[in-house]
Formats: sequence, structure tokens, C-alpha cells
Amino acid sequence: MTLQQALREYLVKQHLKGLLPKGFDDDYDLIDAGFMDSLAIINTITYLEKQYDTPIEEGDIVPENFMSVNALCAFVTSKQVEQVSP
Amino acid sequence: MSLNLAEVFFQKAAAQPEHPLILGPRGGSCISYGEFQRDVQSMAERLREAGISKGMNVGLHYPSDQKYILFTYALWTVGASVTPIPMELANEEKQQILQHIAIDTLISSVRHCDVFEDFIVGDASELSEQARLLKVKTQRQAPAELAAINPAFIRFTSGTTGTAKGVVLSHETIFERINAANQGLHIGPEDRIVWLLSMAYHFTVSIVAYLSFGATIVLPKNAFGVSLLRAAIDNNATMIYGAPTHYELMTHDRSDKALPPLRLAIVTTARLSTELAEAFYQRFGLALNETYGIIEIGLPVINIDQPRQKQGSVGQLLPAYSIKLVRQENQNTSEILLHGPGLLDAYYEPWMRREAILQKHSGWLATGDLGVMDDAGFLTIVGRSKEMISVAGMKFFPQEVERVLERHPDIQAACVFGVKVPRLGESPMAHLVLNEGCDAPDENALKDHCAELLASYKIPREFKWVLCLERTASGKIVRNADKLLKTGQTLNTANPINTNQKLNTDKLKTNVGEQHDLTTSAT
Repeated sequence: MTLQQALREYLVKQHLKGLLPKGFDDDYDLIDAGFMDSLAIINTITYLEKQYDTPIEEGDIVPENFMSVNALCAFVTSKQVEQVSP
Repeated sequence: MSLNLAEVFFQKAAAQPEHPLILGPRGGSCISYGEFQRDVQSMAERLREAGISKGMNVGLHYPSDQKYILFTYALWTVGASVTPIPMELANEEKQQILQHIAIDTLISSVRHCDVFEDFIVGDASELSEQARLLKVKTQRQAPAELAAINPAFIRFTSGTTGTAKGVVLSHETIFERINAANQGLHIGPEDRIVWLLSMAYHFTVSIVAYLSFGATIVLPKNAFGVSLLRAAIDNNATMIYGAPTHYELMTHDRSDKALPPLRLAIVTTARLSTELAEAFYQRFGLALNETYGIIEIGLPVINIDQPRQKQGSVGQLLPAYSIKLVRQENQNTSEILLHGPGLLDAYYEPWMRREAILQKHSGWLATGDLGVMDDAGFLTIVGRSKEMISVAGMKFFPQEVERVLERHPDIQAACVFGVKVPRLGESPMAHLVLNEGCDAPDENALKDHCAELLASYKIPREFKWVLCLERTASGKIVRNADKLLKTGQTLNTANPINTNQKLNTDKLKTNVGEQHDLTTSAT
């Protein structure tokens, strides 16, 4: 499973309760649609840290990194690159 | 004549029609008291035309925004009561509410109407672009005495007890609560309050108080720290009302943004850790005001005067309330008992009026929380006599999750308990006993099973297979995390067993009181 697929599956299962909203795709704005409340943000941070062994820094917790499957995928990829070549 | 909270709001709106009621969430958006009153009256008219009338109870299944307040006040205007159906719940949990509380009609977000498919009778009518009014087949009769109470809210919650029985709050009770709380909060028209919580769980000693006392509600664009700060700064907030998670997200902000000079930064729903209180203070130079609130009584204790000096304390008792600390039998801890205005009117099922509830403790409400009070009267919560779990302030009882786990065909018995984790405060963990002859399902399968039946915050983050559940001498399941984790770790090292190994549970059941790890998949 690719990173993108894994993140999509996590978000759909955990935060969308398996129900795909109309027009959902990897650019679907999860924040605007109300799926990213404070608990969802904290849970997503915890999930990423555990699943991808990626420490999330304070400055990382901004809407741009969490707004969609694609944004989250780009964020995790950049963190992984950062870890390999700090 | 009985009180109606909508009328209280209308009187305030008549006195200050131009005053802003809601600012945000979009930059520059503002609705005044006068405009909102007209919207409420117009929506009430639509509800009347749709057949909603005095004495009916309507389920409200809608996100926390301006419309949530509008629907609640419009329903009160026509004399109906409201049962919140939190959006956060799993579908089955939402349907359970309809089975336990007599609900005549629903107002639902259009995106989530399908949840109630089996209950809907007839066609849906449109209340707004995003909301539908749905007639539902009532699953039960309302208690005979309910109408006489003048109910405003019927909340499906277990309150301080372990089983969901529903809490009934009348208009009069809520009015008493907000007035008692305002002896400490002093909310008035000069206040601009950043609102961050779920309205399905928090509405009475907050939203109702703001509308009754003429304050302005500030709604942020989203829950990220930067957006919360921007909402407070752009709107000159005087108060923030949030959970520890919100203050944590603000603390994470790396910009140089400073908060405006807040009068109060209220923390509710969960215990505030010393680390977070200190980090927030270092970042913003502001001490957070802890509180103690429970559904049965409102907000009787607030740390208003010494939030920095007495960090960790929920504060002093507000003048309207009385407190008694009762030493628990054979233990060195005391349970908090409270008395004062705004006590719940009744438990819904089994029906029990306030007088009967209080009779058990000679007129006091037993909270189930354990506390100590210092010489200056500052109360600190030190635990619970009951086994509630609080994940970032979202509270539930372990038995609810255990029942769901035990519905899985491969699980014979389950024990769920809260373990301390960073950020969320607590997280649920499950010890499971496998059914005879079954293969242990993996963690993902267990999580999928739970996700169908439970809200996401109730799903255990870790599962551990054990040979049998630990019990006390009297046979009660032990849910003490310190004890269970210590036991599990010791035996895990000594005697690990493969996840997929088939077990003879009859043999295992003889080892009462002894635990062995069967898998380490969830560590």
C-alpha cells in the first residue's frame, strides 16, 4: 500500500467514519468540511508519529499540512526526507 | 407562567439589537442580537408550519456552528425540547439515542441523514441548504411526568453514573445554573468569548449564558492553533472557553502572535496538566483558569482568583453552592458531594426526579469524583470513585466499550481501562480473553469492529490478549491501569504466546487472577 493510500484509509476510517462525503478526493478540504476538530488533529499527530516514526514539531501543526490527503502525504514525505538528510 | 430561555434571549436582543452576537468563523462576518432574534423567530415559524409544537422533543444532529444555536432557540421558541445527537458518535450510538429517548422529529445535517434511514417516516423538509427536518417513528413513550418539568434539554448521557440514563434539564434549571455561575464569571455585553467546544456536549452554562447576559461569541475558522489565536486577536477577545487540547494547539504556535489581554481563559472537560499550564504561561504570559463542571449540576467551582499560584486546583466554590467531602470507607480519599441551584430535574430512564436522586445522600449530589480542599478553600480533583475514561475531555465509561468488544465472535470477555498518554490525557486500552477455538483477530480487525459501533475516541488504542481478566476477591473486574500494565509487562517477558495460537480457554479459565500476554501486536 502506498503512503497516499495508507493515509487516505486512515483518514476515511478514523475521521470520516468510513462515509465518503460527496465529491471526496485526495484534495478534498477536510478542515473546511469540519472533520479536523482539535481531537482529530491531536489523533492524527499521534498516528503519524507512531506509524511513520516521524516526530512532529510544533511549527508543523498548521492547516496547510493537514487539510487533505494530498497535503498530509506531502507533509509526511517531507518529514521523511528531513529525517534521512537532516 | 413557566420560564422560556428563548424569551430571556429575546429580552436581551430587544435591549441591545445592534450588539454583535456572533463574530466569525469567516473573517468579517457578524450577526447582531437583533438579526439573530429575527432569524430565530423566522425559523420557529417554519418549525410550527412543519408541525413542531409545545411538548415535542426534537433530536438535533448538526455541527457546532451558528445554525446549531439557531435551531436550539427556535425549538425552544415553539415550546419543544432538544435532545442533542453528537456528530462525533458512531451510527449505532446515534440510533441508540432514538431508542432510549422519545424523539418525535429530527433536525439533521443533510450530509448525515442516512444514519436515521430506518427511523424516518415520510419525506424530509428543508430547513436550510444544509439542514433537513425528518419525521421519525417514535420508539418509546416519554415518561408521564416529563411535560410538567418544562424540559429544555434531554441529554442522553450517563452523567456521573455508569449507565446511560438520560439527564433532563428544564428551562428554570438552566437559568438557575447560568446565574449561579455568573456570580464568578461576570459575563456581560463587554465580553467577547472565543468558543471552541462541541455544542452537543456544552451549551447550557456557556452558550445560553452568553446569549442571556448579552456577550459576543467568537467562532474561529478551524481548530488549529494559528486560527484560534487569530480569532482571539482579530476580535479583541476577553475570554476563551476550551479544552486542554485547544490550549495545547495554541501553545504549539510558533509565530510571535500574542493573545489580547484576556480576562479569563477557561479550561473545561479534562484535567489540565502542569506541563501544559506552564508551557501556555511561558508562551503567552497567561495562567489558565481550571473549572469543575458536571452535567447534573453545572459549573459550581472555578479557579478565578489564583490560577497561577494554585495551578492544579479547579478553584473555589462559587457562592451559591455548598460542598461536602465524605471519606470513603477503608480508603484515604474523599468523595465530593455538592448542593446548590440548577441541579438536574430528573434522570430519564429509569425515571427518577431530583428529590429521589438527592434522597440517597440526604439532599446532596454524589459526584463520584474524589477531591481534597486546602485551607483557603481551593478544591483539587484527585480521582474518581467510578471508572470513567476521559480522552481529551470526551468522557465515557469502559463498560460501554467492553460490551461492544464482547459482541465480536472471537472475544469471550473484555476489560477496558484508561492509560495516561501525552496530549490526550488518557487513552483506552483493552485486555481481551479469546473465545475457545478461535484465532485471535489482529489489531486492525478489532479496530474496524469497534469503529462500526463506537465513536472514534472510544476505540482502544492498544489491545492485549490475556488468559483471563483480573478480578477482585468479590469477582469485580479490576480496571486499575497501574496494576494491569505492571502485571501484563511482567508476564509478557516471561511467557509470550503467539497471536495466532489457538487456545483452550476452558483450561485457561482456571487461572483466575493470573494474566498472560497473548500478543504484543498493539504495544
